[in-house]
Amino acid sequence: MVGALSTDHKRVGMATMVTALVYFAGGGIMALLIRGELAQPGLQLLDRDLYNQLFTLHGSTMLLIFAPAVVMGLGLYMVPLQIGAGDVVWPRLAAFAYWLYAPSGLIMWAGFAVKDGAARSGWHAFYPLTDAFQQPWMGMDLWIIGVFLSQLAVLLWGAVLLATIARRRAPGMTLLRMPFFTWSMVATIFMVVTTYPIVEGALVALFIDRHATSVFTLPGGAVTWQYLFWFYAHPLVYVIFFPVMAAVAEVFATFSRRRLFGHRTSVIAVLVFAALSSSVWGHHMFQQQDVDNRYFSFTTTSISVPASIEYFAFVATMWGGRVRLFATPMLFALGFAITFLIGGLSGILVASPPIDNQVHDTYVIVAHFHYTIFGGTVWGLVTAIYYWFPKWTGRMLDERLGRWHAGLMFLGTVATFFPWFVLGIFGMRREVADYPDWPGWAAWNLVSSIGSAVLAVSFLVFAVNVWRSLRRGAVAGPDPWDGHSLEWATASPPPRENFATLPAVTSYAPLLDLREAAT
Amino acid sequence: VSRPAAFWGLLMCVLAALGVTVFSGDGQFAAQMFGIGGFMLLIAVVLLATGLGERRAPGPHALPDLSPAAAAAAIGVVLVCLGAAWGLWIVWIGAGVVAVGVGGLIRELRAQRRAVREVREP
Repeated sequence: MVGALSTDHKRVGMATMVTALVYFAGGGIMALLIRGELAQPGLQLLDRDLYNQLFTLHGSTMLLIFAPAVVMGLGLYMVPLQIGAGDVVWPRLAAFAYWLYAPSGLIMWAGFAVKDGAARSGWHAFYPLTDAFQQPWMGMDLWIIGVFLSQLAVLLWGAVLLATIARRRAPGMTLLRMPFFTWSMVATIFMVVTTYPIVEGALVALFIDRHATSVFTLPGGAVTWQYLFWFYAHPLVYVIFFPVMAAVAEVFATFSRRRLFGHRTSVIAVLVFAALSSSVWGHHMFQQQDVDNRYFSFTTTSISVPASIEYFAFVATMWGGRVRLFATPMLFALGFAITFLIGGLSGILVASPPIDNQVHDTYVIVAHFHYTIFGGTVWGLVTAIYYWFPKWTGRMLDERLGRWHAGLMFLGTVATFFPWFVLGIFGMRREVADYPDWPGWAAWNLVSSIGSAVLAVSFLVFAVNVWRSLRRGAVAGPDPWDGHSLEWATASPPPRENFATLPAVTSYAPLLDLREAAT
Repeated sequence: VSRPAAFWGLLMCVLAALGVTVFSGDGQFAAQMFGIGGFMLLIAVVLLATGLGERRAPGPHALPDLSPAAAAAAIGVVLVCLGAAWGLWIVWIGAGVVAVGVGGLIRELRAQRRAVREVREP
C-alpha cells in the first residue's frame, strides 16, 4: 500500500502498466462475451441493450483506458533509464496522474451497476447518441468522467516525460544519441500535448450539453463533435502505437546483434509519421461529405511512406546480423511485424474514399482496426514486456511458455480477426448483436469466436508465465540480452537512483560501443 | 527539445497550408491544423526563451520517495468530477480532500527545498 504512494518513476510506471493490464483483462472479458453472443445467429447470451453497453465499454476500455496509459507507463519506467536520468522531472505530478488514472476505468465500468446501465454510444460517443434525450442515464455521465480523468492523466504524464527528456539527459546524451524508443516517446508526446486538450474540452462541453445548456445541439453540432473527437482519436491510434513499435525496433537490433539501421532517418520518419497522423482525422468522416476527402485520402495514404521507412529499418537491421530468431522477444517482434502489416495494408485500401464507401461500417473496418491495434499495440506491448521483464523484475520469463504464448497468440489473432474481412465483404455490419443466417456468416463468426477463446488461452499462458517467473524464474543479471542502451548498464531491477555510475555515451547504442571497443 | 518541437510544429503548419491552398480545407480545418502547429511552435519558442528545454546543470537533487499528498490531491479531483454526476455533496468532500492534498504538497515541497539547500550549503 505504501508503495502505491511512491513517486519513484519506476514504481509509478509499473503501477500504471499493471493497472492498465487489469483494465485490459476486463476489456478482454467483454470481448469474449461479445464473441460468445456472435458465435451463432440469434440472441443467446445477451440482449441487444446489454450488447450495446458491452461493445461500447469494450472499445472504450481498450482504446481510452488501457492502451494510452500502458504506453505511458512503459515510457515512465524506461525513458529515464534510457537517457541516464536518476528520476523524472516532477515525480509528484507523475504520482498525481496515476491516482487520477487508477479509478477512471472503474468509474466508467460503474455504469454497469447504476440504474439503466452503462453508456451505449460506441467508444466514439457520436452525438446525438450521447445527448440527454437519447441517454439520460448516469452511465453516460460516468463514461464522460472516466474518459476525462484517464486522458488528463495521460496528458500530465506526457508533460512529465517531455520535461524529463529535455532536462535530465545524462552527460553526452545529445538528442540524436537518444535511443529510438525515447524518440518515439517524444513524437508521441507531441501528439498528446496538442490533441488531448481538445478532447478534454470536448468532453466538458458534452457534459455541459447534457446537463446545462445546448452546445452540440446547435446546428452542425453533431459534425463538430466528430471534428473534435476524431482530431484526438486518430492521433490516439499512433500514441498507442509509436512507443511499442520503437520497442520492437530495439528488440530487432538487440536480437540481431547489430545497431538499429538508419537511426537518424527513423527518428525523422517517426516525427513525420506523427505529423501526418495528426492530419488524417477526416478519413473517419468520409461519409459525412463535410470534409475534403481528397486531402484526407492523400495524407492517410502518405502515412505509408514513414511506416515503410520503419519497416525497412527493421529488415535492414536484421540483414547480415546474427539473429537470435527463437528468443521469445524476437518471436513477438516478428508477430508484430506480420500482424501490423496486414492492418497497415488494409488501411491503405480504406484510405480510398470509393473503397471506404463500400465497406464503411462493415466488419472490414473492424478487422482493419483490430489488426492495427491488436496487431500493433498489443503485440508490440507483449514484445516490450518479454524484452524488459528481466530489467523490471530481475527474473527471466520462461522461454518455453513464452513460445507457447507466441504460437497461441498468433493463431488466435489470425483466427479471430481474419474472418472479419470476409464477413465485412459479405456485408455484415459492425456493432450489431445479431445477424441473419446467410451462407457462410455463421461459420466465419464461429471461427472468429473460437479464435477469441484461443487468444484468451494465450493470455492465460502469459499470466502463468509471469506468475511462475516472478517466483522461480532464472536470475537475469543487469544485461541478459546484450542490450544496447543505458537501461542495461544498471542492476535489474534498478535501484532508486537508477545508476551508480554511467558509461560514456558516444552514440545511441553506448553499451554496444563498449562491447565493440573491448573486442 | 525546442528544435524537434519547432520542426514538428512547422510540419503541421505545412500540412495545414497544403490543405487550405491545394485542397479545400475550411475554417474549422484551418483552425485545428494551424492551431496545433502554432501551439507546438509556441512551446518551442517558450522552451528556447526560458532555457527550460536545455539540460539541467548537474548537482544534488532530491529523490522524493513517497507522496501521500499527491495521491490525496488526485483523489480529491476524482471526487469533484464524480460529484458533477452524483451531487454537490461529493464535490464539497472532494474539494476538501484537494485542499488537504495541496496543503500536503506545499509542505512536502518546502521540506524538499530545505533538504536540498542543506546538502548544497552545508
